[in-house]
Amino acid sequence: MEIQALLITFREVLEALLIIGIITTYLKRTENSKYSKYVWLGAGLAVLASVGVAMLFQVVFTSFAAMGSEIYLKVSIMFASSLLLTQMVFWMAKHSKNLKGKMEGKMGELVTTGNIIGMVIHSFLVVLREGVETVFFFAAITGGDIGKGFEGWGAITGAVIAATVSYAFFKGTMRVPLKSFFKVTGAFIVMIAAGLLVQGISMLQDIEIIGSVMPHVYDITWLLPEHPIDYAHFLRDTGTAPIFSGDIGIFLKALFGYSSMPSIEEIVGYIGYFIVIYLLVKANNNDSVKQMEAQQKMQTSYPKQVAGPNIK
Amino acid sequence: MKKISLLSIIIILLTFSVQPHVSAYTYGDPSKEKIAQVYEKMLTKLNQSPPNFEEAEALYNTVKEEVDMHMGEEASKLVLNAIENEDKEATIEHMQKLLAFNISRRLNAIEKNFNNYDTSKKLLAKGFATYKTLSPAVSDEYPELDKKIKDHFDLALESLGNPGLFGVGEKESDKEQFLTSKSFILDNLKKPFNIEEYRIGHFTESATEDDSAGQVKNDGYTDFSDLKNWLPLLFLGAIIMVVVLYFLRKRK
Repeated sequence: MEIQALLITFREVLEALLIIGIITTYLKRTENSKYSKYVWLGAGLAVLASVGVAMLFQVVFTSFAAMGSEIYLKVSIMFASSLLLTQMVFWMAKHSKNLKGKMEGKMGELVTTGNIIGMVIHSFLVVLREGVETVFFFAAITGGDIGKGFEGWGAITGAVIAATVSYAFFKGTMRVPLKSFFKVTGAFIVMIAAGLLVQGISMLQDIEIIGSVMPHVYDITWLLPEHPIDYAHFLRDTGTAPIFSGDIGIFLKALFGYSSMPSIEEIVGYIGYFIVIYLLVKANNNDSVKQMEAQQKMQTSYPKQVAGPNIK
Repeated sequence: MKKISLLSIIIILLTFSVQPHVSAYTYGDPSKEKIAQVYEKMLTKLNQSPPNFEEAEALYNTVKEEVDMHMGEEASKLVLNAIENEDKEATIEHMQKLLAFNISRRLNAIEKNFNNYDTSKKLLAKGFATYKTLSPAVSDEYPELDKKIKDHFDLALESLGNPGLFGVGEKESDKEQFLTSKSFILDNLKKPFNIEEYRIGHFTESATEDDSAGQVKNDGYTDFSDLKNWLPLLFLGAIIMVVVLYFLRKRK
């Protein structure tokens, strides 16, 4: 169990630190480090909120009627995270467009109060999502005694390794131009957000809140199941093992939103997400290019106007 | 740039490739039971006039595999024969028996794995979800009994105890109480549904942890006449269309 706890906290903490690291790196590089403490405050509050959520499900919501509520919480957090990450993609796309090498130090004016509040909410929700996920995973590996998961060396070691890895990662990126940093991390965030969106759709279909005209477009569990449990079930049901392990499937699920038997809505949602994001980012870029051109025109024509006879 | 991309990819690979082997990775609602849900949908189709046996059979086939695996193929044969003979009453009767067997399967699985709070809780919730669909049939004839059975489900839930969180909300489990409630529920379901013994085929051992986690995914049935099934696709299509049009307008 210690190894399982280690792997769980490593993964969840690393995911959370990836997003927080992007935000704080941005603040640091734009000489706004003074705001970083608010981002960490948001993250800290989310850790407390995660304990609160665990308490609710473990101690308060234990009746038959309330037992299903954890799924609704998961779905809500999935969609909220996907939405916020999408907003972050736009924010990064917009800023990376304007960032140019040595100009970075003068970007302070881009950080507004609204931005800071947004960043704090981001860090809060990202950490909350990972916290809640940790709680549910721990409930599973400990047979419901979540507190046990935190005892022993596993959980703390996982968190420490994740913190070390992300520290090394973000320390290394300090030499990379902010524009390239945003592009690379932005691509990851788009993939994570698309995966979350599709998982949200899949969950809503599982609990039959929304329907589907084609619940399974194809079924390639025999080739690559999406989870070790699907692997075990396939083996149990058919007597033959799938070609690839469920561990590979779950990695692809987290990275690309892979599903071994997706519904038509999951496929359309996934591909549609990339199309929508691409078109919207492109449209926004066109807008800012037009704006810049208009500004340049204004600046070149401005001296002629002010040089009129009315100037005293 | 190359270095940083490589490093990022390694980090991401690391992050996601170490997914722990937990066996409760499910998105299913613990308070819903697939067989019970299918029974309810079958009832709707059977109560149409004339009864829609074809759709009822298609619905049953979505759980047939699970029933065959856990309760033996004979149970399915009885239901499918009744559908074949277009005997509505017999179909409903066999389905109700099947649900009672399902409750028995869930409660037995808890008994075997009593100390696993998380799994037991989910299995009991599934057992109760199954009973809720049977409840109208019981309360028609025996309203008092229906209430008592529900009370015993609550007692059974309490008997599982609660490990609490960091010492808060800790409660001792009580296996004796669970066994009493289990016997009460199963014994008293025999009469309303003419059950002599809870033994058709077999109950497999897998009805424990894996089972609570796995969802029945081989659901190939789609009701095309239901607008609810079309809405998500229409909604997604509309969003994509709006964005494409917005983009084209911006480009001009």
